Amino acid sequence: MGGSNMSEVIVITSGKGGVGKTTATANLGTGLARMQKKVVLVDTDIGLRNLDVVMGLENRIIYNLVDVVEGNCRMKQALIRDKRYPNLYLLPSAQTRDKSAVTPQQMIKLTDALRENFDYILLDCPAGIEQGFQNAVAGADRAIVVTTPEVSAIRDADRIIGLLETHGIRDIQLLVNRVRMDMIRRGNMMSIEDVVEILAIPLIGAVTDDENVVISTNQGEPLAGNDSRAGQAFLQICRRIEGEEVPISDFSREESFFSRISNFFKRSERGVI
Amino acid sequence: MMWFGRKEKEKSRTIAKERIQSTLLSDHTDCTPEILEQIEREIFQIVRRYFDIKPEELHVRLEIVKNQK
Repeated sequence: MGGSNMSEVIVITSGKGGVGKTTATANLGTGLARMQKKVVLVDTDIGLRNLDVVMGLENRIIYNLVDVVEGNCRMKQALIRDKRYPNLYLLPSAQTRDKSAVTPQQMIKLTDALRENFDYILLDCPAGIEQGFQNAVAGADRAIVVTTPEVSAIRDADRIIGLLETHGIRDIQLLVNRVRMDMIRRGNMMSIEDVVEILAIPLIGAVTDDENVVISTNQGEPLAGNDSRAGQAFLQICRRIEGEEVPISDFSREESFFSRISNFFKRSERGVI
Repeated sequence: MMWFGRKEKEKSRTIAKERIQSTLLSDHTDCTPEILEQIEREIFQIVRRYFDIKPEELHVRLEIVKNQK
């Protein structure tokens, strides 16, 4: 393809639903756009459109991914520019169609067309391993697998990693979401290290279970780059996507500092110390 | 009291880790946990011929080398 050959198509996937794929996609896209990258977010969950609401762009949709694939409109007409970031665009999914409306071949054609104009093409993958997943991974160079430190999410992540490998995707990284350092410290949650050890793929980053994520979703404003913990964690992940070496321990150290103080008080209250 | 509390709390992370690891082993090998336990028991029977040990003194770790997913 012509254009910039530096562009990357990254699929954000998980297998299990509800672990934060869409939130991660929205925030990684926002973070990369903040870093002056040209970014397009593609909602590949046909029939269950969500990324538009998380991005706060739901009122501006005219055309969608299926319209582009079927030739009802030109790509440019379907792309929604995020007014907050001049380099950030969304290609929304269709709400009234289903997964079978698009084939993997059409997805490859679509992502190749987007490579011409963007540095990063982030694909928000639907949950499951059926056609929606097959479509989303078809055009991807690289994958970020989102999981939470729970048995069910890790099991599905493991299955997804196997399927990604079968699809020839070699660059697979792990994002551990909804981490609660206080619970890890009390021995009631698997640690980030545990999850990495079990899934045996490189870690791109971890994000704390932060109520600011819920607030930002309520408002339709991704929080990547703002001074919340999750906002900072997502920005760090963006820097790692860009190839920068940002130590993972930064995040947990900050966490453990605060938690240690609160644990100190909790323990002394109980008289255990 | 304190010890009891600590132990209880330590447990759920450890339980989770053990459960996910045995589930994944069972997923990867396409083998039920019962069969995996059977393998462990049989290995113990063999090892016992050479060493005077109790079942809890033998830790069997089965590792499947890649591409079995």
